[in-house]
Amino acid sequence: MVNENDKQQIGLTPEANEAIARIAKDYFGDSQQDAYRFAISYAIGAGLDLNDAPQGGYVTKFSALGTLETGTSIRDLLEILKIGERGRPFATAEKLAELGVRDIASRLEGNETLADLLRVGSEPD
Amino acid sequence: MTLRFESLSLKNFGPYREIDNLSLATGPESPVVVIHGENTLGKTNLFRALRWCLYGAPEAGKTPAESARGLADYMNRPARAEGESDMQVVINFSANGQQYQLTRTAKVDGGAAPRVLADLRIDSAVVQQASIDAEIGRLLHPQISEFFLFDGELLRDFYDRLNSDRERDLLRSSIESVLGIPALQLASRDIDVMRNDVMQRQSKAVKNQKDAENARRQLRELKSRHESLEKDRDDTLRALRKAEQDLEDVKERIAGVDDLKADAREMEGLEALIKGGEEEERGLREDMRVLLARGWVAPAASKLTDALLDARAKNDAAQGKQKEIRQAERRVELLQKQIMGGTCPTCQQKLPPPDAVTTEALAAAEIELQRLRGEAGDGPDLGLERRIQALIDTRTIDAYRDKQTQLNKLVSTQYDRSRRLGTIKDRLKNNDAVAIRQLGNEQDRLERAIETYQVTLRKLAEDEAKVGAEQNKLAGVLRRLGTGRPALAAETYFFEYVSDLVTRTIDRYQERTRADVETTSTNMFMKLIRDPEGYEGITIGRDYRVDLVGKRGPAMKTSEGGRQLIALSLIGALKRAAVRGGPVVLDSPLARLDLEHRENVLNSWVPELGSQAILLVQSGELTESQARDIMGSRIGQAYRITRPNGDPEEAIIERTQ
Repeated sequence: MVNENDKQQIGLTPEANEAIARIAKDYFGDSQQDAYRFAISYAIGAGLDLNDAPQGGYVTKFSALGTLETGTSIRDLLEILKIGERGRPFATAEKLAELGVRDIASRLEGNETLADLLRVGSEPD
Repeated sequence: MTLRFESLSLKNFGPYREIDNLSLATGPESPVVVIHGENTLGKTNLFRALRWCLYGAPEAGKTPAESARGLADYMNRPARAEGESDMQVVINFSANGQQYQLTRTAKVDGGAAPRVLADLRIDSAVVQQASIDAEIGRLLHPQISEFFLFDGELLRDFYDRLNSDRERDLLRSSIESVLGIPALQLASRDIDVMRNDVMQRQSKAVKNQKDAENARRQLRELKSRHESLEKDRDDTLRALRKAEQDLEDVKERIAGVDDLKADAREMEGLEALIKGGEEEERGLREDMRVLLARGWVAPAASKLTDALLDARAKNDAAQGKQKEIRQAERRVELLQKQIMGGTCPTCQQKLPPPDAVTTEALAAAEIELQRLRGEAGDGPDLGLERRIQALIDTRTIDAYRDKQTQLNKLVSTQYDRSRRLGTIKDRLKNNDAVAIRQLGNEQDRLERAIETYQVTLRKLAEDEAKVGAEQNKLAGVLRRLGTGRPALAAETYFFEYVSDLVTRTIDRYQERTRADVETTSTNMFMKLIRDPEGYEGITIGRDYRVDLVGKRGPAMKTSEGGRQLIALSLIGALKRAAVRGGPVVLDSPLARLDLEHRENVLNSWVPELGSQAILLVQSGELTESQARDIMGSRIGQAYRITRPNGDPEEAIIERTQ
């Protein structure tokens, strides 16, 4: 079900856009969609605060439905975990992706690996 | 043979600037000269100086002409840098009661090949230049020099190589050379030619025209076949000699780049490993990419797990409420039935009539039911649980970390490989690795070609033997035909007889020497080996195949050291067959043997070889004190090679005993 109040096209700020290009190239076989979805999930796992995300300045990258979300996973995730504004999952996902990309890029620059990042929110070994 | 080395002088040979009259004199009770020197100090140069002085070629298996090109490399470099151009070796020796002084001098003046002069004096009488080689050959023939100027390096792989066709031929030709059989074979061929000639003349003289014509035709055919076989043999021999010469050249060039060749091989291996590693890395990265693409929800797993636990708790609570409601409903129903009369739904007994207490209880139960319903909300949401479970990914994180560990290890290995490759490439920078590899390929090609030529030669020898047999048969036919010229018949008969005699003599000599070498090598081996009772001996088959025979039959396996002992036994036996008595010079013959076997070699093998033994050894095979302990008073002279100034191009020899 498409919510007309939600965003149909979602993207990133130019700064995060550069970062996701690098991340996608290094870890996702150049697929920015895969990297974008991962960033959303990462931001949730890391407990990043939606209020820290920029309120505007996003440049469109994907159609939310059909391109980024082919099933219902993103919406389920946000709904189940009750994240963001109810009824506007893609607007929330966009902010989460922005936060996730920035944080991933910063941690990878600090010599952590993606395997380390996968452990976000869980107990250390 | 009473030849005995007396002294050796060297000038500007190898690392030796000047060695004046190094005494090699020995007596019957102290026949051993030991020269100790660590690796690279100059033992082999001393050994080669002896060989060069005797035969004009420092290395075994080479003629003076073949050695000319590399001779300048033996000139002492500091001397050359100081403008000197003469390199000289002088050997004083005695033989058959006469004193010999042999001097060989090379003038190294920058030309393509040094000019070499030899001088031989016997009891001060000068021997003509042209006769020097023959005079030395008469005493110690160069063909058998490897048995008394013995390079320990030859021991390496000697036994294994013996059972290849090529090395069997080498053994056969060594044995044959010892007996001068090649000369006999040439004589046999000459006799065959003469016999053919007389047979042709005889065939012309026979009375029976038809038979004579037939015999002539057969003779022509045989002659043509014989000529054709000889031409093939000569061509093949030429090609074989050429291939052998080329192989020597290639080996010489390879020896110069042996280390580089090893580098090139390692580089090739590393390049292949790095390439394989790159593919493996690509595979791992792709696996990791797929894991991330499919398991993108994994980072949120802990939040989802929390949510799942929360949902389960709520569902459990809701189910608890539902249960309480159902119980409250049943109580209300019971109380209502009680008020209305009838039977208990549980025990089916008639219920007592309603009273005020029951009515109050019903009212309270209805209030409680109302309260519970009010608190219960929507009830448990099992669908939510299932949706959360569907999202929780428990596999990706561990799988990804495993892959990451593998990748880290691989990257580290690849880094090491690349660093090693870089080091090798730096070393090879000024050398063409492809050219080095090509040398190796060329060596393989030439070895294969030599193998083929030898097979061809064997086949040609068989064919020649068949032609010979047919010629013999034809000689019989011609004899039966009778002749108008009895002298020709007698001549034919004579050559036929001589030819047969020579062939049988060669066969007998070959067989006797083979059997002698077999017996002597077995005796030597039994003295060298630790547990001789475990062996029957060494056999040399009629095809010259060498086998070690144990108590349970032939083809007995033995260790590296055991193979070296077999090689020593064979070489010792060949030396004994070649020349009894005389000197033997051994360069590093003890490597790979343990102390007990070294003692056996020094105490039983060396004395059997001849009346004088000069040993060039390094401390790894025999220390000075071990030499003294083992050989004691049998050591007539002992020396040590040293490098006084730490300069690898300058060595001296000092007496230690």
